[in-house]
Amino acid sequence: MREGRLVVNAARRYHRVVSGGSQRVLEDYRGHLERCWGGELGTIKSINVVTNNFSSLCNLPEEPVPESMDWNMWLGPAPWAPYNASRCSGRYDTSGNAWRAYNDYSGGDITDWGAHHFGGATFVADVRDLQPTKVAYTATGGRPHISLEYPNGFVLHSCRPGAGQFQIEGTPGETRPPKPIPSYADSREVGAAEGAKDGDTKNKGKRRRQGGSIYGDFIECVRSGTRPFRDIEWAVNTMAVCHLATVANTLKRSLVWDPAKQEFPGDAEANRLVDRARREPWYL
Amino acid sequence: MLDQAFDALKTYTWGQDRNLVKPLEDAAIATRGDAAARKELEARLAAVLTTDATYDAKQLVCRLLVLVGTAASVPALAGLLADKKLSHMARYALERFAEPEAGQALRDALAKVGGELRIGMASSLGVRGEAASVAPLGALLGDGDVALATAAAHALGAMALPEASAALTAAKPSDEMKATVADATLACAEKLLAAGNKAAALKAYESLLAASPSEPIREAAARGRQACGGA
Repeated sequence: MREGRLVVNAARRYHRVVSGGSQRVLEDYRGHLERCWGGELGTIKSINVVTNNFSSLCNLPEEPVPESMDWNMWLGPAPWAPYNASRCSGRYDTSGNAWRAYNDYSGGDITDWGAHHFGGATFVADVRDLQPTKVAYTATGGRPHISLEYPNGFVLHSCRPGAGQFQIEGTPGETRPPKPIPSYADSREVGAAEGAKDGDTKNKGKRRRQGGSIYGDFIECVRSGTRPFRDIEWAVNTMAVCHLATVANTLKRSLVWDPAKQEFPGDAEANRLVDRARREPWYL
Repeated sequence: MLDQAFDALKTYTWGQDRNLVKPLEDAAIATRGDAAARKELEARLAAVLTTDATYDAKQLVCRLLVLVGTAASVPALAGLLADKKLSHMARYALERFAEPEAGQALRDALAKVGGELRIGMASSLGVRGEAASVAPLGALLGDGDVALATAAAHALGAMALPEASAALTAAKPSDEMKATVADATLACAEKLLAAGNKAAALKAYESLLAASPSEPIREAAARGRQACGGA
């Protein structure tokens, strides 16, 4: 939690354009955006997203470090641990045998897909500027369900029993005046096509689809000195959701969060989990 | 079951079945609200740190003490701060303790350890933000070890204390350290402003502006001064 605030503070201190968070929020959730920002669902009461496992402690056995690898540098600020190929594997796998599965390096699926789904949901519900103030933890059949309530009453659910992916609860019978949907500052096509890699002759020369991209948005905002579509503060607010859910799941209980003070009021135990000491010589 | 887990912990190594020690992890959570049980658990965990248990076991204990540790664990953790392999894990717990004994242990270690371990102590003291740490950190701003001096500057910058701001603005940094100290001064001023201490924040911003800073620092300080209600 502390690291996110420091990134925002540095961006604001030097008046720099910093874009972050999910690249999917405009593309993947556009249909939901149009319905919700268009007002047809009325007041948005809740959204459920489905994320899978949280990360866990890794205790894989020691293996010989490959000659080509600086293992100490790979570990960086994380606690020392023995090399194991699966510990540092870059595979997109949060269920084990890749770094995303282990809590010294990642939150697991809750921070992996959570960054996308929570980012999309907070955009759809228009609570990007906020952080939750109440975190309710329950578990059904061993599967945690975490509800994060915002100051305006909106509730973001993670794995609500019986609810599907991106299930939106609006207010039946109510309509609200439509709001213009924010988009990228740059509508020009920028760069190679999605998925194009170096040497990808098939896609060479193709351009991104109409409507711009987060990359073009960033460049345009650097030119204009304005905040980007995915301003870093919104990314940090999204990650706050992921981390608050993680703390609740770690402690197996509900929490109260003070976004202004970035602390759990009167909860010394939970406050110990808002940051971690980094292995020297790294620090923040 | 807990006794078996403590037995397994003595020889615990990476690669073993984690279920052997999982009852310890479960107990760290389950003992919340049961002061006697948690106190006993803490004492048994801290005792492992003073034995010849494996590194792997001691690392796990430090992780668990983040949750259940109190001032009672500080001596055992403090005993690891000079240990090159375990110093970080001792800080991993101590940095998060609200108890002032943890800060004192880190300050004591700052005066004794060498090399990169001092950087660790300085950074943890900055995160803790205790007034008693300002003087020892301030004394490091002119250290010949630039990495250590840089860590000390950032540590002071992390504190929402007028004393920390005063230490930074009073420093006479080398050319190599000027930008670092200025950045830390800005960070400290932001914390003071957020805490409602406009006067101390304004003093820091004006001190920076008076020192002919580089353009990014000058602009940041000018914005800060404006946020304080200054010109």
